[in-house]
Amino acid sequence: MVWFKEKWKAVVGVAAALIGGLLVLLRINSNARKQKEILKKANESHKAELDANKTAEKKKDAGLQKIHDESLKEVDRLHRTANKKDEDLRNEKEKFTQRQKESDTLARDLADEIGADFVEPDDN
Amino acid sequence: MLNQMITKSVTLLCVFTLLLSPLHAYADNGEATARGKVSQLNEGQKAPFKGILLSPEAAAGLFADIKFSQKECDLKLDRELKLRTSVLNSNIDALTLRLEIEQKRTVSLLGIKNERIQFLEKNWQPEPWYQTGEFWLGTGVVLGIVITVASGYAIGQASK
Repeated sequence: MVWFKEKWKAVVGVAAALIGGLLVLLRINSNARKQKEILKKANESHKAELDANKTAEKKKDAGLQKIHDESLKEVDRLHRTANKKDEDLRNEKEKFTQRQKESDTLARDLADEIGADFVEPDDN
Repeated sequence: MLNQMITKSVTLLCVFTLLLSPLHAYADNGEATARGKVSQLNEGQKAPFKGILLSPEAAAGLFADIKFSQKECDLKLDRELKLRTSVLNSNIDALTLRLEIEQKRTVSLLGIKNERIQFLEKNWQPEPWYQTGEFWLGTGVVLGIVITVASGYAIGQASK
């Protein structure tokens, strides 16, 4: 106790220095923790952005592929339908030609169609 | 003098004749010629007018071509129209899909960036000194020391 009374200033000084040093260390540690948290957040943010971009690209690729496939199918279907109609019309035209070839009124019908006058042939 | 009179008279007569002549009569004749004529002949029959003779096959083919040309044209048009419509609808679908995906991506990226900005804004400003953990720790330690010293002093005084 006597020693403390004699040296109390030194003791208080050492205690103050120790406490000050401890506080500075705590402050540095706290700043480091905060910066680490900021970097962690930045990493998470970048990862989320990459994920959003990847998801969007995947959806886009899948959607475009689907549209492309459907479009090819539709074009194929349209060609088949149109070819069938062409074939039907060709057959109809062929039958019509055959009928007309043997028709007695071909010349009269042709004249009517093209807007010409039908003239009966001279029997002599 | 007489010659001049005759010449003038003939000239006037010609002018009036030209002006008053029934031009529509000639036009009628022209129209009749333009309409054309068609006849059907058997072998050995005399042709009633000058023209081109077609065999029944050629005539039937020509007739069929005339008769079906509109339908053939309609079919071609229909095919092309449907193909173009299909391709363009496909393009519209693809562009709509791209737009929707880009909109969603933009909203998503904006949300992420806003969240990050808010976090950085919150962490950018330093904490007030009286709210820091170090201040309260230091205060606690100093108060503890003071209380301990004061207690020791008080006990010492009391024991005297």
